[in-house]
Amino acid sequence: MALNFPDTGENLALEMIVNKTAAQNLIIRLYKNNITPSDTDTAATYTEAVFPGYAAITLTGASWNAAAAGSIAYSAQQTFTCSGAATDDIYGYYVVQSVSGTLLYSERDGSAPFAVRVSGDAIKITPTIGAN
Amino acid sequence: MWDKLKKLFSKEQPVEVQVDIPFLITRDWRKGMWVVCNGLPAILVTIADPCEIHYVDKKTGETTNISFVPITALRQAKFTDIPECRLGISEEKAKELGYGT
Repeated sequence: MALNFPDTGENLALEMIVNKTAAQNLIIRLYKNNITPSDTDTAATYTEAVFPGYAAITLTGASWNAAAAGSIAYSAQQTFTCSGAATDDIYGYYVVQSVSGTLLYSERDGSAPFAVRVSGDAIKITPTIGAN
Repeated sequence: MWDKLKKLFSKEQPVEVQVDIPFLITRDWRKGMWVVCNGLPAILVTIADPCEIHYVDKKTGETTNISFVPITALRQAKFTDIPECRLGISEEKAKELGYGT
């Protein structure tokens, strides 16, 4: 599915464009509640994954590729790998600012949920934002 | 008499006719928008016809069902239609987004 910028994320993005609010590194987190992103969401809308081996990933500013054709992508695919028995059903991911914790955007996987059950189960995401 | 003759042989004058053309109603649909379909709260996922909507449980705020419906079957949700646990913005903000009472 497409990225969803909620109202708070849209306003934050606009303020960063005009340098009213300083940009921060972003943190990508998986969520395990059955949420379809909406424009009234905040970070609290999402329940973060807890499977063994899971850890949120910081996306550092310098590691994004140069924007091209109205899109910007992270330089490397990010992998969340399970390291033991688990019961999480993953529906998507959400991205927050590293310091403020404010939700910027989220995305539900089109074929959600992905059942994380055993060691070695992995979810791979290449963060990409399109402006078109 | 000359006036009558002039009228008979003159070109037909255009006549203004008032026609009732129904208004074409367009709405500012957007992805991620709260809508109501069949009396139930849902989130608009794709803007097409039919469009994809995800029905949402009013108590848990979680998705209960995915459906494809004609866009004409939707109306934008009111503030009170949105599940309370999914209201991450104030009533004032919600009004700005069109979720009036």
